[in-house]
Amino acid sequence: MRDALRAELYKTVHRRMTYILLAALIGLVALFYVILWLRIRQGPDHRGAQAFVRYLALKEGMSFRNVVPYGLQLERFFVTLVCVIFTATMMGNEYDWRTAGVVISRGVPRPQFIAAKLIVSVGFALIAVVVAFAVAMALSAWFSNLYQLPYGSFGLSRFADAGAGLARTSYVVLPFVLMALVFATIWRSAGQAVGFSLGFFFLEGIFTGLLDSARGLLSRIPEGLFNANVQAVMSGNGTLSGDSQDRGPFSPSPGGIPEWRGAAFLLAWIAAFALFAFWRFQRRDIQE
Amino acid sequence: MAEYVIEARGLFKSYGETRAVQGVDLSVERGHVFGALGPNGSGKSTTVRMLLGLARPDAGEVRLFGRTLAEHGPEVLRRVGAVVEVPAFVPYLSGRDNLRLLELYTPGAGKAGIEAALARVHLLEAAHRRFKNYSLGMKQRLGIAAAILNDPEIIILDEPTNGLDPQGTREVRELIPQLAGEGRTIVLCSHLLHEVEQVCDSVAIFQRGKIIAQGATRELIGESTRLEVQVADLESAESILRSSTWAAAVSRQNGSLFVDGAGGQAAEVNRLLAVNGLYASLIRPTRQSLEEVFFELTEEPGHA
Repeated sequence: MRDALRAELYKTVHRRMTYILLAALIGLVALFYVILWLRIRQGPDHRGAQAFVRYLALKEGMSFRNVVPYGLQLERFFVTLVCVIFTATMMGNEYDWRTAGVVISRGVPRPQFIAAKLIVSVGFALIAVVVAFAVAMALSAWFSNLYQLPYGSFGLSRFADAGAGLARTSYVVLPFVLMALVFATIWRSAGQAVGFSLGFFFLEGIFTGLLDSARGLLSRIPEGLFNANVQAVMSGNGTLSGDSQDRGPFSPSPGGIPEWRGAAFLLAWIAAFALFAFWRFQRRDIQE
Repeated sequence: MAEYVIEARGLFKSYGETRAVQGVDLSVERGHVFGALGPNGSGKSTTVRMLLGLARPDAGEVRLFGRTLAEHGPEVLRRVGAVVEVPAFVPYLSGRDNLRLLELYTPGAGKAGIEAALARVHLLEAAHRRFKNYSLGMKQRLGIAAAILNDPEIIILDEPTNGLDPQGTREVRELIPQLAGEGRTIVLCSHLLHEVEQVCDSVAIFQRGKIIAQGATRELIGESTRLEVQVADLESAESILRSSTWAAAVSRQNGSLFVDGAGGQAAEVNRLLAVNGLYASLIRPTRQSLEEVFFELTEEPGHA
């Protein structure tokens, strides 16, 4: 197993795509904060108290004090996007380039080959979450300095909260990573794996939006999918604190699903995807 | 007693409605160079993929070094090196880094082994270049370097001279007996019949997913089973020889008669013609080429 992991790391470190994706992630998080800053610079609009509260909430979201609830909620989307592409191409390219066949025909056990990919994918997700959070911290510190916004405390509990927030964010990305691995083993192609994974990632919101307005059993389906459970877990990161009393545009709305239940459902998805990917890779021909 | 390092029994493989391999049995002796011949889609590559554990047989069993692939796959495959169809490598890595990557997966060769493999296929100068920038010939060389990297006992080469220039083809043709001379077993899949005839000890001819002929190359091409006869009256001689019990077939070609199955019957042919008033100016055993045997065996009815 150690050999397969070393080989997978070697490929990842030498792969330009790894750095392109991390750079894209940094750029996306930074771009979002910059757009927010440009909006804040325009000042509040004068269409009533509600609009002023929203403006205040936006400004508070930029502050260093709110980097955990706000920054992590923001980066979750971008990290998921990047990690799905990373995993789908990492596995799918092995089929496209026919390199999976070369490795397996040299006596590398199939479970080791795919387990190494899974471990590296999870590792990449952790790094991506930390890198994106570092960007969010840097920019929110800069904005806090610029607009004299509160930094919040620097006590041990703050560090513990940040650590727990990073863990939660990494955790909610994993079902999508595993889904990308499953699609890559099903379609044996990077392009199709990326397409299906991102398709599901973006379309789930549309379908669950429709189902939310349904009645009876149909309306319960979204509770078993990703988004509702992701939001339930992310709600543990807290909400915006400040004078606006607004929870902010990125505040979680878990729809009453407790955090533990959201985590359990996501774990079930992670386990199901992992088992399916391993089973599929073990049973199926590498080349036809 | 012969030791078989590759044994396949009753292999079947279908892809949907297509029966790619239908009951293939083959045995390859240790130290032999074994040729797999056949037209495109005849089941050679599918059989090779089953030998390497890349495709699972629907039925049948593969044994390498006497152990079943299904149970001891990773263990026995570490003793095998292969290039299947096209050499496949990570495009963004250099030739050297690709070998380093394979060495990480299955350690053993070390840095010196990598350099030795590159040197053996004359790729040292281009080893630093990315694989995606290699010519087809360089890719083939790297494929062979990867196949020999861990000093394998069996080397399976699928069309190893594809894309090579005449010089490269000659080098590969020379390399194969060298590798076999080191005690390795070589399986060579090729369309180039002349190449196979030159280097292979034994051959299997595939057609429509089946092996239609298998055996020692010399036996298969039947070195002395055919006689060439030159005589003034070809028509009469043909009719006389056709009536003999030992002639399997008699054909005319370029002013000569060819009598199949008469390799050891030169005196009898001479006597038979003489008693009928015909005197042969030449009687000699001829050697069929593998190409002739191949086309004879694989020719579809109606295409003759």
